[in-house]
Amino acid sequence: MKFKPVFAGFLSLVMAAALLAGCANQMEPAKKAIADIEAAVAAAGPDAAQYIPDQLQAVTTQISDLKMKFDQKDYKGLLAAAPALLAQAQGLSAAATSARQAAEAAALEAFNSEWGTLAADLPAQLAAVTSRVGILSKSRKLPAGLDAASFEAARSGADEAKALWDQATAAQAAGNMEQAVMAARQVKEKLDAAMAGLGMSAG
Amino acid sequence: MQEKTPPAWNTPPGATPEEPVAAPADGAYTQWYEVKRGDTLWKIAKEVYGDGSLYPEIFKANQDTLSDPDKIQVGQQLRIP
Repeated sequence: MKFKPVFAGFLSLVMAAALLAGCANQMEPAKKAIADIEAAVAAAGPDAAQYIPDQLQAVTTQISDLKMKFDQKDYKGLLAAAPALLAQAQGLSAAATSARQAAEAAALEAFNSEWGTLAADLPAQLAAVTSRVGILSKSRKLPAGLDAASFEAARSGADEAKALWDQATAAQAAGNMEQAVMAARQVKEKLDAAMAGLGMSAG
Repeated sequence: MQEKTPPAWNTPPGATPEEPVAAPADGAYTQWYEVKRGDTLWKIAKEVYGDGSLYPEIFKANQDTLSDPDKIQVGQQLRIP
């Protein structure tokens, strides 16, 4: 019975080959599973990083785990875990869109609220400053405590504030609340500075 | 010598007396001045504008409470436009 060891060796070789073949059969699906998950993450775009960073991080951590399984040739484990992670990754896009829309709605609400305050306040402040600048422009001599440079700075500040307020109201009328509020904030800054320069009290 | 508020009748020839106007709506930015003893509108205008001749601006802004620029009361609150 000399053939027995030879047969045993042959059998081992066949089994090893079968095992290798089995692994090779699973390697490509495993590779594809990772690629599919990464594609789903990429499809979520930058919104995911900006609006749902925790969910994105959870998925990328699990992708790293899958890649570790791939490196360890644990294709079976990888393929078992992949479907759940793919579903999670595919959900990122909708979650990111939803989170972005919620953030935009909150921002719009905040801009609307701030606009309401500024729009109720600034016209009166602009009128007060413009009136004072107009009267002082007719004065033959500036009052004590107000030099020519301060007056000129206040006058140009009032002019700039008027132009900016026109921009702000135009932006508001066009529905661009962010631009409207940004311009209105500048109006407020300029008018506060002009009032301080003219020695006027606010409120 | 203290400057006096010119009388209200001292209007330039050809000028028409101004119609009473509604007082501006007061708000957070309305500037106020409390009349002190010895004040005149001329004196107040000189103090806040540097030029007493601009007193009509104050008078116009306070026509709801002032009927005569010569008649202001100590303690009275005047709008300073």
